[in-house]
Amino acid sequence: MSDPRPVPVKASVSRRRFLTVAGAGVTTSALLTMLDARQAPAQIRGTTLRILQWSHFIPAYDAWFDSKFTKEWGDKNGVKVRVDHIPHLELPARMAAEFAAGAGHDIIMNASSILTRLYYRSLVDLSDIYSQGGKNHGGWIPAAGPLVEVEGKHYGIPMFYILLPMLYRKDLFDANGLKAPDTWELARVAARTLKPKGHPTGIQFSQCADANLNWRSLLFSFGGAEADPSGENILIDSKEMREALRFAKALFDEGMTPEVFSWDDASDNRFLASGIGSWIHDAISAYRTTEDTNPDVFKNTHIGLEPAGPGGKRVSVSSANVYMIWKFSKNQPAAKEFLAHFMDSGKEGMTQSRGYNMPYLLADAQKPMPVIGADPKMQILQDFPKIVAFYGYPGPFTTPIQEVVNLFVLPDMFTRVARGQAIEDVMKWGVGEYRRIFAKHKRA
Amino acid sequence: MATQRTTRQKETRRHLLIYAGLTPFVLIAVFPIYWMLITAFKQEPDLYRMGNIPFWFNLPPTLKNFSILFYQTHFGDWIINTMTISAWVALITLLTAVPAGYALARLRLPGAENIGIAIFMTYLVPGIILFLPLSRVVATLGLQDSWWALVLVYPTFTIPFCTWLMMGFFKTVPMEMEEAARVDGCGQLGAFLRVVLPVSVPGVLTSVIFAFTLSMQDFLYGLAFVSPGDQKPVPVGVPTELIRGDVYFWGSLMGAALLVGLPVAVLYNFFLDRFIQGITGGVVK
Repeated sequence: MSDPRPVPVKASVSRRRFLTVAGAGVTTSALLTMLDARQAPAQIRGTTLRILQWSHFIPAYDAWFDSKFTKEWGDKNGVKVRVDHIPHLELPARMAAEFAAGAGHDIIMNASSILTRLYYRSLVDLSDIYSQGGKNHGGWIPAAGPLVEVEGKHYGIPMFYILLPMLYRKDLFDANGLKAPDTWELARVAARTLKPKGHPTGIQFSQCADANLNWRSLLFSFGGAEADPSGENILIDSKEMREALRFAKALFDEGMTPEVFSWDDASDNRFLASGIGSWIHDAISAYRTTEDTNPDVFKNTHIGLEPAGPGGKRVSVSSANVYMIWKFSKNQPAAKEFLAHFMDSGKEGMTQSRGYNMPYLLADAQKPMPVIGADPKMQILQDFPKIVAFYGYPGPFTTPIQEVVNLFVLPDMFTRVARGQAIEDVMKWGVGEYRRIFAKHKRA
Repeated sequence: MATQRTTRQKETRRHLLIYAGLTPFVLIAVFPIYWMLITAFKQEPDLYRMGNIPFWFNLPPTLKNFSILFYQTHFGDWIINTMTISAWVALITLLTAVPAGYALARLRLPGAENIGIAIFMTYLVPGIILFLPLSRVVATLGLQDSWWALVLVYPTFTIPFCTWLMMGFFKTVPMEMEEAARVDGCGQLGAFLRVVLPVSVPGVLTSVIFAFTLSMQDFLYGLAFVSPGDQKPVPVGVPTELIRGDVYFWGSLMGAALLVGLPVAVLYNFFLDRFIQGITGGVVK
């Protein structure tokens, strides 16, 4: 006969353990709910958040970001947000000063020079919001992760990048029976044809940011590479690099004038606006500004996809933008909340930037994209997310690559060839510089 | 009568030759200012079109560039900040460099010459090396992102230069003047204040002008230590808001340069004779 009394069951969970597990569960679900509803935790209320970033190409974007976007988020979450701006080329100097001082802004932006790997030990691990952002928006484009990933963690959030497409004068091309510059060879033929008619082309053979971007686009589209996917090994010593140098020399001889040796980032803008340039390879600011400065040029300038190299490959090296949080920030929770919110507002950012801000998040890169999807001339820009790359391609944007970029080694190689040095001599010099820089960082 | 005419003709010819020789130099010196002036009043399309004559207005002049400057940027704040910072720095420099220069030049301190050289050598240390350690000092004092940070750091380069300048100047004042004052009953301080300082006014003015203009033209420290828009000095504020990526607001940039550069040029002209006297005063003893 069985005993009718209830059998005492030995408790497998202690009261302490129960409270711990239950507490963690409640906290996690609350956090997940907050993340899902984008509601900030109460602890950030009454705090101040300081953000440092560049001055955007579009003044109205800064006005929106400073006075509306951040303010609305701040009002909603009880956070006072202050946004400061400095010129984009000076961000590394300011970052160095804040690092040395151990004080400064909570969130700092990098533009073009991405210093995440240099400072990652002093930056907050943002892997959680990076992953969440990817999940919420269909994942990241492949080139995004290597910008901010160090030892398996993400120390920054890539927010947007700036493209440098082909901008060409369709009226001049049509009048001379030229095909659109869909390949580098067609671009060269156009330059060779139009230069004698008073419409040369131009790419910076000088030490400036555009030269770093443009010559890499050419090199990578020619099948060349800078470093392997590990970022450890230099791949610049290749026949594709030699081909690219040979091509650039021919392009200069046949289609450019010597003024390109003194060009800065804004020179090609002026060149196009003057009505002289037949094509340039630059950010859409060069095209946009002609709307005011030379409406005829604006009307006749068209935008092309990155020209293909001899093997049909297209790689567009773009100017990356990344946001990071300092470890010394006294307001890390608010900073993370804000960046998560910023990630979720990519499309609004595209609209406010008039199509400058290109998305790293795949859902935001779906056609039709805001602004550019509705503009017949700019629709082609929607195809760039498939071919976009950054410095170091196909490797990551490592610290030695950053130094190579800052010392303008690659543009200097192209410039030396254009000025008449033998390709093998230039290769010897350039590869030597790469090796020296990589070896120095390896030792460090 | 004929002799008089010949003399006058010779004099005129001499002047004509002098001015003819000077004209190319004046043109070279004045051209950038002229370019700045007309660009500041030009419309955007007038700047870019190749068919236009660049040396004059092809479209009607405009005040739009100044309107952008004053209504769409913090230019007014930047001007006030720059002037206030420069005035403070000039004052601090004067209060430090004048007594330091006097002590090193006149008090026969052991090793004064070497100390003077050492002080000047610190002026030669570039800001690109100093801004990192200084940023720690600025943050520790809680001055980051306030223009007071610049009042703190600018004297690091104005004081050494002006001390050296004042040393040279004080050396030119005859010792006998000071001794005579002492004989007449002045103490060391009285002789300095009543005799040496009044005859050293050109040197003091030169120091003020140098301290003022050196403070006005710094970029790196301003960039490293001050980022809020309303706290910036002109050299940092102008490129921040008027150079956006590869888009340059040329008209407003030139307008800003003109508005800041002209008063300084006028100031220099007012004190030109004394400035030259101050600069060259130290070369002879």
